[in-house]
Order: sequence, then C-alpha cells, then structure tokens
Amino acid sequence: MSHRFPELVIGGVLVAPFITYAFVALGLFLLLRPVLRLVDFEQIFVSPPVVLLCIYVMILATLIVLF
Amino acid sequence: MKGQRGPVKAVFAGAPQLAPRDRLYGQRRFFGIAFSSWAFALRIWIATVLALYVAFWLQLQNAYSAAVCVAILALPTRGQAFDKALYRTGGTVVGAVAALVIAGLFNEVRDLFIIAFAAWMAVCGYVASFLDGDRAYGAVLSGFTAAIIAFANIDAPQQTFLISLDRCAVILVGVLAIMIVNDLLGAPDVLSRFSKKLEETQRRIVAFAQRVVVEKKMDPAILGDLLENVVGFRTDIAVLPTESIAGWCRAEAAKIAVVAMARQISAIRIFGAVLQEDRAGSADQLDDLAHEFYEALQDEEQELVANDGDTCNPSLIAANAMQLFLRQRRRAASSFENVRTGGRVQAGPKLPRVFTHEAARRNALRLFIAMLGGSALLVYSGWPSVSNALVMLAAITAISVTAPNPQAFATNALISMLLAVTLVGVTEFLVLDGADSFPILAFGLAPAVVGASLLAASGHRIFGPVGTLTLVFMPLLFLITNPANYDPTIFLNSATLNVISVIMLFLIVKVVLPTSDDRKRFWLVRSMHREFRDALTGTPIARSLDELIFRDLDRESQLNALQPVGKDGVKRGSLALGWAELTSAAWGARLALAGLDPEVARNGRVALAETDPARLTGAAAQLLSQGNAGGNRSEELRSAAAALAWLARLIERHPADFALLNKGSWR
Repeated sequence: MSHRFPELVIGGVLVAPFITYAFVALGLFLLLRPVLRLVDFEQIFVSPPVVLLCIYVMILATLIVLF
Repeated sequence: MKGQRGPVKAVFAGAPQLAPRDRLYGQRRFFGIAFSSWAFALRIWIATVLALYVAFWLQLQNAYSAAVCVAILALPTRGQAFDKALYRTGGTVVGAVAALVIAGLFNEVRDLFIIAFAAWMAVCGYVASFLDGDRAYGAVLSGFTAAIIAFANIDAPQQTFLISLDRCAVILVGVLAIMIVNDLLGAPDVLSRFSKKLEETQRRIVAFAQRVVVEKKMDPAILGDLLENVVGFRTDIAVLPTESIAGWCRAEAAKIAVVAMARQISAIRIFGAVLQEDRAGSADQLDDLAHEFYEALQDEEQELVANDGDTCNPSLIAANAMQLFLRQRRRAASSFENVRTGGRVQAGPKLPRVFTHEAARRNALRLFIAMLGGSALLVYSGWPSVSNALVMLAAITAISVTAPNPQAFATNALISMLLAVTLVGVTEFLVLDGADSFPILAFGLAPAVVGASLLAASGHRIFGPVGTLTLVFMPLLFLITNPANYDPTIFLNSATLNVISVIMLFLIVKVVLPTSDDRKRFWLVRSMHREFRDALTGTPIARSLDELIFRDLDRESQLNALQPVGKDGVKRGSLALGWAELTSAAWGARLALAGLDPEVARNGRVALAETDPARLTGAAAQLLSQGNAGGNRSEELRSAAAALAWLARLIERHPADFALLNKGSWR
C-alpha cells in the first residue's frame, strides 16, 4: 500500500505536505532544546551546529516515515 | 607580509570583522587575503548557488530573490546570520500581510494606494528609529516588503496573494540555504570573538584605572574609546541567544558583565575627577587612598580598607568610587566564566539605548515625503517598468533610516550600484554569454560573488559596506530566470532605473529633512534635561541603577560620536558631556536615597529637589554620621552620603553648566 501524505488546506490554499512536516519538526526541535540544554549537549561535540542540524533532519525524516 | 602587494595589502590587511578559527585557518593568507575571508566568500557563493538551484527546482517566480536573501544574510558569523534571518522572515510575513491589506483597501484609487503605502513606510520607519541592529532592519523590511509585493503588481492586484506566498517561500529558501551552508561549513561563532573582546576590555579598564591613579588625570580619548567599546557589546549580545542552546544564559551573563564594566567606567570618572581637582587640603589622604587602591587593582580578591574619615570630604567620594570599582570588577569577572560555559544565571539587566522621538518623527516624515515624491516623479516620467525603480527606491530609502550615517550609506550605495552594474554586465554578456545550463551559471557567478564577498569581509571602512551592497545589488540587476534571458534591453533598462533610484536616494538624504549632528546633539541634550529633572523631582522610574548608568553611557557615546557643527559646536559638545556627568550624578543620588528608609532619606530628598549644594552636603554629612554609627545598613548610608556629596561637588564646581541644564535654556 502506498504512503498517503496528509494535506493541509488553509483558506482554500493547498499547502504541500513537506511544509507541514517541516514546521512540526521545527516545533518538536524547539521543544527538545531545553532538554539538550539540561544535559550540556553542546559540550559533547566538536561542532554542535552540525549535530543539531542532523537532529532536526532525523526528526523530519521520522515524521515523514511514520505519518 | 610576503605575498601582499599594493592596494590588496591596504584593503585586506586587517580583515577585522572575521574572527579566524585559529585551529583551522591560523594567520595564513592566500594572495595576501586571510583564509577566513576566502572561507567566508566560498560559503556565500555555495549558498547563493544552492538557493538559486532550489528556487528554480520549486519553480518559484522570482528565484533571484533567494540569491538576494543570501546576500543580505552574508554576515561573518553564524549568530549574526541566524539573528538577521529571524527578523528577515518575520518582517517579510508582516510586510506581506500589509501589502494584502493595502492592495485590498485602496486598489481602486491609485493615489490613495500610494499615500497608504507611503504612510505604512513612515510607520515602519518610525518604529525602526526606536530599535537597533537586526530589529530595526526587520521593522523597515516590513515597510519595503509591502512595496516589493504591492507595487510590483500594481496593475494586477488579483495576483497579490499568490505573489505574497511566492515571496515568503523564496525568502525561506534563501534563509535555509545560508543557514545550512553556515552550519555545515563551520562558519565562526560570535561567542569566541565576543568572549575574548569582553575580557580584553575589562583588562583595559583596569589598566586605565591604574593610569588615572598614577597620573592623576584622565585621557578623554581612552575614556571615549572604552565607552564606545562597552556600549557596542550590546549588538553582539543581541545575537548570542540564537547562536547556541545555552545562548540565552550566555547573553544574560554578558549583560551583567557589560553593566559591571559600565559602572567601573563611571567610578573611574568620579575618583579621577577627585584625584585631579580636589587635592587642596586633602592631598596626603588622597595619596594614601590612591596607593591602597593601586595595590588592590593588582589582586582581584583584595578589598579596599579605606579610612575615609568621618566628614564629607573628597576622600569619602573617592573611596566610595574605588570600592564600587573593585566590587564591579569582581562582578564582571564572575560573569566571564558563565559567558564561556553557558552556565545557569538569573536574568540580567536590560541594556537600554537612548532614542529620541524627534529623530524618529523626522525619519518617518522623510520616508513619507520621499515615497510620495519618488512615486509621483517616476509615475509621471512615463518610463517603462518604473515599479522596479520604485521598489529599489523604497528599499534603500527605508534601510538608510537604520544607517548611523544616511549620507555615507547613500554614497556607498551609489558606488556599489555602479560596481554591480559593471560586474553583472561582464558576467552576463562576456562570461556566460548565452549559456543556459545551471553548472555554467554557477561557475560563471563565482568571480563576481567571491570578489564582492572578499570586499565585504575586508572590514575596510569603505570597501566593506560597498562589498556587502554590491552582493545584494548584483542579483537584482541580473534578474536570473529559468530559462535564462540574455536580452541586453532588459539589462540596460533595469540598470538605468536602479542607478536613477540610488541617485534619488542620494538627493533625498541631502535635501529632505537631513539631520545635522548639531540637531542630534540638541535632541540628546533635551532628553538629558528631561531626565535630570525627573531625577530631581522624584518622578517614578522602572529602571535599576545598572540600566540607568548604561543608558547614560550610551547617550554619552552618541554625543562623543557627533562632529562639532556651527560656530560654537566644540563648546556645545563639551557642555553636553559635562551635563551627561551631572545627569548620571543626579540619578546616582536619587537611587541611593531610594534604597534607604524614607525617614532617614527625607533630608536628602529635600536637598535633591532644591539642588542646593550646601543642603546636599549637609544631608550627606547626616547620612554619613548615621552610617558611621554602625548597624547593618551602614554601607548603604555611606554610599548615599558619597552620592549626595558628589552631586553637590559637581554643582558647586560647574554652576553655569548646572543652571543651563536645570532650566533647559542651552540655546
């Protein structure tokens, strides 16, 4: 069975499913930040920005696969 | 250095804006230009190409706007680019909504449409005049985004909604491109450079204090430089929260460090003035005090055990200022560690700046007149595609409001536009010359984008801003489309209109309500007079002493930056600096009394309202005797006594300055 992507319609405008995924992933990522702050996440890595970008991409990919 | 030659050496010698990542680049140079500058230029080129590719792939209408967005966010550090990106996205959304409202309400009547749009620009300019840095940019962006969307489609209002969506999408593409490239290619952080500069400034402040103690005089040039440095930290602190997860804690710790340094500077001026001018009668006592303070400056943990006597003499004022200095130095030092590690801290003080309503009103009126006049001129000229020129005029006039010196900005814009026309002409008709594949376009753009980025990264006073503006203007002139269009008529038309827009900006900032330095000084002094009266009369204020001192130093730094204008400009400038000291002293006395029991502080309050030096000294003596009697508040009582004595001393020594400031009759 093929994967069905949720479609969002705002005021008659069809919003691409990817945009929905991207914004939900951004929300989850922002919620995760205080937790990462508590565990001193940035101290563990040489280049925290790359790791944070990877985490965002992983959340995005997980959302696309699961929903 | 070997490899540097002629003008290259002159322009790229310092590259001070870029903090090189020592481990990665060291101090190495390539063709006389720092590796960090090359890395910056490479990142901008890659981000430009990525943004264009994605915009073409998504078939967005104005794909070149993604490249413009990358150019606008071409800043040397991740934090700066991230912070500006947030305000750029927010400003674009607000501007898109405003465009929809203006187009919806006034589309039927063209004149009303233009008036409404000019009024919206004026509102945005007014708001931007009370903000600084990226916030001010976000405010003016809301104004000219409305122009980009509504004016560009003035003849097809039914397209406004679709164009708004397209504009937001293309901006998001540009923002994501630069952020991803910055993250993956290791753009430097603000933090490393900022942290070093913060600690270096603290060392300079201590060195300055030592020099004042030894020489018994203050060098105004060093003092002015320190002031500018401390006030300037505000811009870097604003971007820290966006840069890392612990950014908020770092920013709050940095605010504490900065206000602690501001208070140290304020303390140096007090004991410096006393050591220099009040030696008669108490020279030995002051020398002992200065010696003890000098010893304490060598060791961060050492306290000052000053015996400042039981009377309200200059030693009391100096000793209190020296104790305050040492306390604030310890406070700053304890914050540096938190800035580095991002450890948990309480919310720090705000760092308020001084903005005047008069300047904001003038900026708003200038934008309104410029938009109405510019629109009328271009509409009645009958040229084709004047909407493009209007959009450019709206954008650069709005941004000039946020520039510290609008006339210098207009000059830079003119030079940049001519340079961009040349670079785009060469790239489009000599380098690419009809090529239609994306890889060739990408490599064809490289020399122009990398060259302009290197200029932007040079940190040179003139070439730096010219490079940044050239980066922004190039995609606007190129109007890169898919499929590619190499029509020379379109290029010539676009280039001519854009050059005309910049010439109009040049004339506008010269002719339409230009603000002279003398006028700015007058507005700053008027705000100072109001605050001086507020301090004396007990008008309630919701700011702490930390915030008030930072604001006073900011005002003083703004006054320092103004050039003497007119016959007695120099005299007015020095008068204004004297008044700044009086205003700070009045607030110091007022807030010191506010911390005491109302009964104890009553005499002090009355003396403050009357501003009689004899009564102020009397009230100070009374507080001092209560402080010397012991008790758990003796420290505060002695501080309040010193604050009143300092104000009394300033009024006594500069009665003419005081009378002018108090009455507000400086003109």
